[in-house]
Amino acid sequence: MIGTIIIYLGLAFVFIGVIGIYRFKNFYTRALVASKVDTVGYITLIIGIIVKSGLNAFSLKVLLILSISLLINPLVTHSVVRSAKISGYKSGKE
Amino acid sequence: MLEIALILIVITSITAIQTRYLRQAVLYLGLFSMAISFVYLMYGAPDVALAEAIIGSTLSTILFIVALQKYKIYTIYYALQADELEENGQLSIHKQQLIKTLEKFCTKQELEAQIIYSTEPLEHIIAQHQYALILVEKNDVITIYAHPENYKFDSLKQFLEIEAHPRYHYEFLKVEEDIL
Amino acid sequence: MTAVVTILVILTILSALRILIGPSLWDRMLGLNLVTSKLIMLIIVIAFLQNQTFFLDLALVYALLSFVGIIFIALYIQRKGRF
Repeated sequence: MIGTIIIYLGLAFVFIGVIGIYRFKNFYTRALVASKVDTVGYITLIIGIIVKSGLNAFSLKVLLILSISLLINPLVTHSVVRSAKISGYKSGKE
Repeated sequence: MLEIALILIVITSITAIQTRYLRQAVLYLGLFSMAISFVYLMYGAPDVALAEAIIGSTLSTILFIVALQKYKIYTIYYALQADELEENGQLSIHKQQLIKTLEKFCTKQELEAQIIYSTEPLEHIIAQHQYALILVEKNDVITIYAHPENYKFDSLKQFLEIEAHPRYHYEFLKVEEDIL
Repeated sequence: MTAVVTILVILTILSALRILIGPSLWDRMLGLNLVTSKLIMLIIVIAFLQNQTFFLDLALVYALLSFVGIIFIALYIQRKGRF
């Protein structure tokens, strides 16, 4: 029961992130909102799955995926925004 | 649920063929291989899905990018004042039409246009950046500065004489090496 | 729990729409990153529902390889066609 609630909480975070990429008109704001909220939703959803399945080989593997994605997600966003900044991409004011 | 993924595959493949920029087609193909790999997984073939994910999203992306290096890129700097960008990051209609004309020229000459909006002063752009053309606008006159080694400049002059702009007049200048 | 899969598919489609309409190249790269992360979540949930551990290998491969692909494209754009 607790696991289901945590999973739906994670879905709510991801949903807020998807609203963010349509709501904002500036590229840099969009990148910030999408990446941060998405990462939080990711962590919450996977913790919910671990709570639901208990401690076994499955949850250990899920934990490995979580740790890898936690490292990779900010790196990718940083790389994309740095590429936009160096190329001189200008966006509207927010 | 599976039907939605199949519709997405059709849309992305048609868009990848129809787009004018090759760099965007590479991104569309990345999305395409993601979606088709998910469809394989849903049909109960995880080994095929694994191979598709490896080949489609990494190997073919890198191969396409390496091949795109051979394709020439025509860098155009558009020098703007800081307050000239209107809201939503949109330019006015006349400027959009000017950029459309330049992109048409690049497509005709088999070049890939890369347009950069810059608020830096002209001397700074000439000294610091790699460029092919710099556009400077003053009182409805567009001054086009070209790089000394720009061998497409004469054909650009002929093209712009045919495709006249309703509002702007053009003025052509070649940057001398002495300015550097 | 089937509702979770449906909601995640809808969110994935909404993120993919950002790739199709995004005004600039960097918007599209951002959208590709979002679609990948949501697809990983989807695969984990499906693996939990069907109780099959080997689906997780696919999620691991997705996470590692999309990283390489997007970084490669971003570096290519940043150096203006030269490596």
